[in-house]
Amino acid sequence: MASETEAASPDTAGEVSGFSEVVFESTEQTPTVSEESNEEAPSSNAMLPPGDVFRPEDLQQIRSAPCRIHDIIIEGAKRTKPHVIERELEEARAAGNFTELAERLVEATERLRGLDIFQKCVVTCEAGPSELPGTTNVVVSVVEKGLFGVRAGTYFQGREGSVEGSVSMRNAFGYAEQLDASIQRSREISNTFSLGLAVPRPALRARVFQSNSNWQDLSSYIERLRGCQVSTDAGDHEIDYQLAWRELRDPAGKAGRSVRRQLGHSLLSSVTHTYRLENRDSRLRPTQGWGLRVTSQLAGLGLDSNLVRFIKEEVEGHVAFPLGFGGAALGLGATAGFLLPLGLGGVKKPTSISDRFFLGGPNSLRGFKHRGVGPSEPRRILEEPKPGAPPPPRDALGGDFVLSGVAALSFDLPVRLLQALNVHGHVFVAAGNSVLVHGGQPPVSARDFLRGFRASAGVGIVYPSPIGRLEINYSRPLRIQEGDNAQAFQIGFNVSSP
Amino acid sequence: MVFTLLQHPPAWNLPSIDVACIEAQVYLRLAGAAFQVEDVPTRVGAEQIPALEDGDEVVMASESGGIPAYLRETKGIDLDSALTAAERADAEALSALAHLRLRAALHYSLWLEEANYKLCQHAYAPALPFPLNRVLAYLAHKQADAQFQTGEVDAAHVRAEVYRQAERAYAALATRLGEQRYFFGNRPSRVDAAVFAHLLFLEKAPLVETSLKTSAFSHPNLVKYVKRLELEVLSARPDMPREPPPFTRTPGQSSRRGWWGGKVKKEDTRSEEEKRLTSRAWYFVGAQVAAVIAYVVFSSLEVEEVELEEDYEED
Repeated sequence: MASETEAASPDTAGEVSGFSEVVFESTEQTPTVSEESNEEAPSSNAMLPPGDVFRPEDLQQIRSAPCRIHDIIIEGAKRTKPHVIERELEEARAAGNFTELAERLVEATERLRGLDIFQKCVVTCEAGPSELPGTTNVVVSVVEKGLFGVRAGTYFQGREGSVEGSVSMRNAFGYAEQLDASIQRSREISNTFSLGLAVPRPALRARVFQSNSNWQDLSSYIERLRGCQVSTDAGDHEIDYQLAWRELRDPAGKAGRSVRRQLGHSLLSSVTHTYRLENRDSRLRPTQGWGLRVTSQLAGLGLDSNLVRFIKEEVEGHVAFPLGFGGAALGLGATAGFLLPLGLGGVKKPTSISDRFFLGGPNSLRGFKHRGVGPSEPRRILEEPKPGAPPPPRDALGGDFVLSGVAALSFDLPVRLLQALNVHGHVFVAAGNSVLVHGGQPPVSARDFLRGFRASAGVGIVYPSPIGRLEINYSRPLRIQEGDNAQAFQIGFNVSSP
Repeated sequence: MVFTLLQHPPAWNLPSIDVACIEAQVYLRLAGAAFQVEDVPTRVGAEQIPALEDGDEVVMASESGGIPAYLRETKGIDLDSALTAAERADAEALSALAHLRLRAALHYSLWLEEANYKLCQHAYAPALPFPLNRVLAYLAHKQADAQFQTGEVDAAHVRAEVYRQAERAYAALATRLGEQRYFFGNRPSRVDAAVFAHLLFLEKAPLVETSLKTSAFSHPNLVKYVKRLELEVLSARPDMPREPPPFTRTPGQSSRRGWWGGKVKKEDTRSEEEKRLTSRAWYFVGAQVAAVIAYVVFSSLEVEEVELEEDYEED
């Protein structure tokens, strides 16, 4: 039995033990090893030395002993097509010896679980046919998840609360596909309906959607998008194609000059490439490492010259350093983006307001309201303003070029309970600016752009909850311009640290 | 002060494809207001167009009083200033006749007469890509269907009724006009703007189903009226400032650029136009499919960058 502990300790065993459902069953030839063991020799009469004594060199021999899969037996797969499971074991079939086989079966099990269609998935090895020494039969025993899934929830995102509900159908046709229909509604007009289909191999997701985004209070328009989207990812890369009919309208008739010219229909046919690198120790409370996200969008794929055409590029970087006391860490983040119109008229015509960059809000520039910074314009005045009334609201127009940065120092709070919950405090300084460049705008020099930076500083409390990062901040604007909207108290929610 | 009139773009040798926009132009010209025209080709079918911009202020023709009331109240520009109180009341009634009866009949003729609808499909949203232009035309057609309730009551009856009402309106207008120069003697009024815009549309638009046109121009004085005003109003001020449309080509420009920067010649006969649209549709679909497949297969940044660069140089 001593040999068993030895067998379980080194390299492969360490990995295997992480996935305790991967069980290699014992065989007659090796009665010394119990069933709970993670690792066991397959049926190979020639491999074992006589007697019960198990020496380290025997272990080495077992590991390098030839062993391959003879057959794959699938149990419990009612809807799942056999090839869906078999293709995940394809690599294990190529394994030549025991160690290799064990490693690849662990990987395969992990992939099978990643399909998200099984409640339980156990891969075991049985002895192969006695006339074929050095072979094993792999038994994949699964319990499928239910066909239907229902999810409902409410959440607060950006500036309004919303209710979301979705119904999903899992693996209905046995190809490990996921079908889902979801509805999201918020207090205002904004809503989204979508129907999605995802298949694991090749990793493709398709979605048909309709969404209404109500920007009437900030930019005097409602955006409706109807279209479809296909996306796929490989490693750190994600490619996404979108074909959407976009309509901007202003039912209240309050839009100012520029937004008025933005209204109407357009067709967007674009491909977006996203490259993500994440080396931070935590997305919610990073104390060390760096992260990078590069998003490139090319719109106007198609022969029709009337399609919306532009290039949009956005780079976002984060870095965090531990300071070595009180859980303190310094985090720096920066975002830069530009939007370049293409096609007929080129840079002479203005870009679409729905594609532009907006600054402000707890996830972009703290201390300012959502869309509260950047180019803006007076709205249409429907009634004569009374004397002493607040200045009339303006339409946020967004920018073609944006640059912003944030520096934050996070630290533990001196309360045990809060420390246990990982609730921490932070102080921050944020700055940014965005400008319009295209469509007959006067040119902006780099100096003017930098001079136009808005800045704010503040303190806040952060709760890194399991579903995302919740923060409450109090901040003061340090640099502000006419037309900007500052906001002292802010509640922010984000899936990762900005 | 130069006003800016936001309007649906021109078509069929008309100042605009939309009668309300023609009427706004005619009104401004008759009233002697200096204005420039700006086409908004993406706001297909929007009721907020036409709109008149005056600096930071704007007035939409669909709002109560519309452009005439705005000009009268804030600028003192009034086409009807010479009318007596009784004539003003008449003007109100006659323009209501033109706006309600005639516009409804024209709307019916354009969208619910099969032959005219085919024509509208091409002219309705030329600045939008296929298939969006067709979808919007179809939606306008469906909306007209609902408006006239052709599905719920006997369609032939609705059609006859709409045209009969138009016929009566034409007869009333012809009688009221008589042999006068304008509806109220020698000075134009807003009734002239409304009626002339409608008649001009009937005269110029290449409608296939022409019962409305036939019925209007069965009155010889209306024929003479529209010919005379056409010369007087539309060609009298050739120096009228006109801003080039910022987003789209006007029908006068004969070529447009394709995706790769080559010149795609624009055909002028309709059947060819149809062919071109159809083939364009297929190229479009093909290109979408090819793009998706290409990105799935090559899923790498290089592919995208090549396209970005080429596109940039094209401009």
